[in-house]
Amino acid sequence: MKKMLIQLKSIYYRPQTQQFVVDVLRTLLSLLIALILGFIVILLTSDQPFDTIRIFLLSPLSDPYTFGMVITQSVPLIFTGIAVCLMVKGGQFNMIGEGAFFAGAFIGAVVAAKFSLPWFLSPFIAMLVAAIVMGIIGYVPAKLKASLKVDEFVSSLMLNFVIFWVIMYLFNNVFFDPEYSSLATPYLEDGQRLPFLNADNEVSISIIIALITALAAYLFLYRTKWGFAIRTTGSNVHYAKYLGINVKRVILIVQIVGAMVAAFGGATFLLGNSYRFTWKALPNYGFDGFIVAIMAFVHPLLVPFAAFLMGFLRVGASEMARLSDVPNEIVYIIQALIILFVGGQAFLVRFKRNRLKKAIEKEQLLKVEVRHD
Amino acid sequence: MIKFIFSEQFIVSMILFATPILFAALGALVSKKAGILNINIEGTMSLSALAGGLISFATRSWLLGLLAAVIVGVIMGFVFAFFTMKLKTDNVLSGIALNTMASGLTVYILYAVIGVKGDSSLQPSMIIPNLNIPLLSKIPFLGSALFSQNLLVYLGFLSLITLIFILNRTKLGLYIKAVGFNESAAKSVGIPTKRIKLIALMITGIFAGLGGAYLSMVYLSYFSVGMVAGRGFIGIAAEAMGQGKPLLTFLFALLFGAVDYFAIGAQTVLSFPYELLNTLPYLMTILALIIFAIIHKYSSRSKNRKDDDYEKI
Repeated sequence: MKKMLIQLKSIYYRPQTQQFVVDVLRTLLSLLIALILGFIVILLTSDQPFDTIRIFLLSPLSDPYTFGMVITQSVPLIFTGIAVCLMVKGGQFNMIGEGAFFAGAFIGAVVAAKFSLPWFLSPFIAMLVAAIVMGIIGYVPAKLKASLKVDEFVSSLMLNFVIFWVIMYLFNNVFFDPEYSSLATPYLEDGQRLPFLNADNEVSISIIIALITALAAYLFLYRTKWGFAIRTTGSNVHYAKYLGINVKRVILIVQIVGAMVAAFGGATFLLGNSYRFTWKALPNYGFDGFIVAIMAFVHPLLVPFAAFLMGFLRVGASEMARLSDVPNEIVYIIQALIILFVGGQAFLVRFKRNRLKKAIEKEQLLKVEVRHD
Repeated sequence: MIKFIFSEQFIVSMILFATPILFAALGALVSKKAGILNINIEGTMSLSALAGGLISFATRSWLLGLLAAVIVGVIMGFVFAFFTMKLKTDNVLSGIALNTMASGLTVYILYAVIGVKGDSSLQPSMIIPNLNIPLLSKIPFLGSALFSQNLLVYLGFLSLITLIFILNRTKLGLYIKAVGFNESAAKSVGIPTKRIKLIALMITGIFAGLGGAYLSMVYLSYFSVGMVAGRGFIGIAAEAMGQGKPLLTFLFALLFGAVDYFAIGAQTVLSFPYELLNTLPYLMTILALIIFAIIHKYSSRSKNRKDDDYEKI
C-alpha cells in the first residue's frame, strides 16, 4: 500500500506530469480571465446581463439538440486544429487551412452530387477527391518555402484569397443548381451524404471520422519515423539537418498533409451536416484551427477537447444572440483573449518554474526513499 | 483596354487604391525594422476604420474622427506590445488572436452603437476633404492625379518622407534598426530595447490608424464589416517585397493599388469574369514573392553561402 502511494507520488512529481498540470492550470486560468473580461463587456452593453450570461454558459447543456450542435460545431475545429498541429509541429506557420477547408467543402459537395453509389461510397470518394485536389494546391506554398524560402505565412494567406475567388467563380458559373431559389450546389440525396449517428440531434458520423483523424495524426507524429523527422525539424532545424533528416522534404510533406487534412475536414463537415454548399465567404475555420491547436498545446490527442470547448462557447454564444440583445461576436473576443494568455510564455512563468523545481527535488527524494525500501 | 490603363482616371484611382496599402506597408516596415512581424495591422485597420466612422458621425468633425482612428491604432500598438513583450506570446499568434478579436469587436461595437451588424451607412462618416492645389492641379493629365487628391493621400506621401527621415537621419531610427538587427547586441550597448520596440509598434499603430481612417472616411463614406479585405496583409507583402527599403515599398504599394483598381475597373471594360479578376492582386503578390526569392537565392549563391541555406526557417 505504502509502496503504491510512493509510486503514485513519484508519477505525480515527475517533471513531465508537473508540466502537464501547470499547462492545464494555465489554460483554465486563461479561460477564466477571458470569460470574466467577456462578461464585463456583456455587463456594459446588455439590458439583462445576468440572464444573458446564464444563457451563454448553460444553454448548450439544456437539451440534447443543442448539445448535438456543440458536437457538430466541434467537427470542423478538430480537422483544422489537426491540420495546424501537423504544420506547426514541423515549424511551419501555414494558413492554407482556411482556403483548403472552404475549397474542400465545395469540392466535396460537387463531387458527391455527381455519383450515386451504394454503401456511402460517394461521400467517401468526394472526401478523398477534395483532399487530393487541395493537396496538389497545397504543394504551391510548400514548394515555395522548401526550395525558395518564400515565407509560407504570407504566400498561403494570399493563396487563400485566390482559392476563394476561383471557387466563387466555379460556384457562380459552373457548379450551381439552377432550379434552386438561391445560389447553392445541387441537392445531396441520402446516399450521397454521410449518415447520421443520431437522427434526433443531427449528429453525423463526421465526428467519428474527426476523432479517427486525430488519433491517426497522433500515431503519425509520435509513432513513426516521419513523425520524428517532423518534430525534430520543427524544434531545431540545425539539429535535424545534423541528424541527416531531409529537411526540405519534411517541410514539403508537412504542409501538403496539413492542406489535405483541412480539405478532407471541409468535405466531411459539409457532407455530414448540409444538403448543399451555400457559403459565400471564407468561414474562418482555418484561423480557428490555430486557436484550437494552441489551446491543445499542439498535441493531436488534446485537439478534440479544445475543439469541444470552442464549440461549446460558440453554441452558447449563438443561443445567446438568439435569445438576448448581445450579438454572438462576443465569442471571438473571448477566443482571442484565451489564446493571448495561453500562448503567453511569460504568463504564470514563475509558478511554472517553482513547480518544476519542486518536482525535481521531490523526485530525487522519492528515489532515495524507494531505494531504502 | 490600353486606353483604360493610360487614362487620367486610372492614375487617379490607382493612387486612391494604393493609399491604404501604403499606410499598411509603412506600418509593417517600421515593425519589421524593429524586428517584429506585426500582422495585427489588418485588425487595427478595421478597428480604426470603425472608430473614425463612428466618432466623425458623432462629433460631425472629420478631424476628430481621424484623431480617434489614430488613437485607436496607438492603443492597439500598446495591446500588441503588452502581449508580445510582457506575456511573451508569439508575434504571429498574437497577431492572429488580435485580428480575430478585432473582427469580433467591430461587429459587437457596431451593433451596440447603431444596432446593425453589417455597416454604418445609417450613420455615414464625415468625409475627409480633398485638397486642390491651385494652378498646379490644372496641369493636363497628371495635374488632377497629383495635385487634386485627398488630404490623406498627401499625408501618405508626407509619412513616407518622414519615415525615411526618421529611419536614416535620427537617433530613434538608428536605435530601431539596431534593435531589429540584433536585439541582444543593442541591449548590451545600453539601448532601451523594450522602449524602442514599443515606440516602433506605436508608430505602426499610427500608420494603421491612418489607413483605417482612409477606408471609412475617404474610400467609402461609412464603415462596413470586412472592408479592410486583406489590405493589411497586402501591405505586409508590399513591405516584404520592398526588402526594408521605404521607397521600394512605396513603389510596390502603388503597384498593388494599380492591380487592385484594375481588378475592379476592368470589370466594366473587359468581358472577363469578375471573380477571376479579383484574384489578380493576390496572384500578383505571390508572383512578386517568388521573383524576389529567386533573385535573393541567386545573389546569395554568388556569395558562396550554400551551406546556410536553412539558416532562417
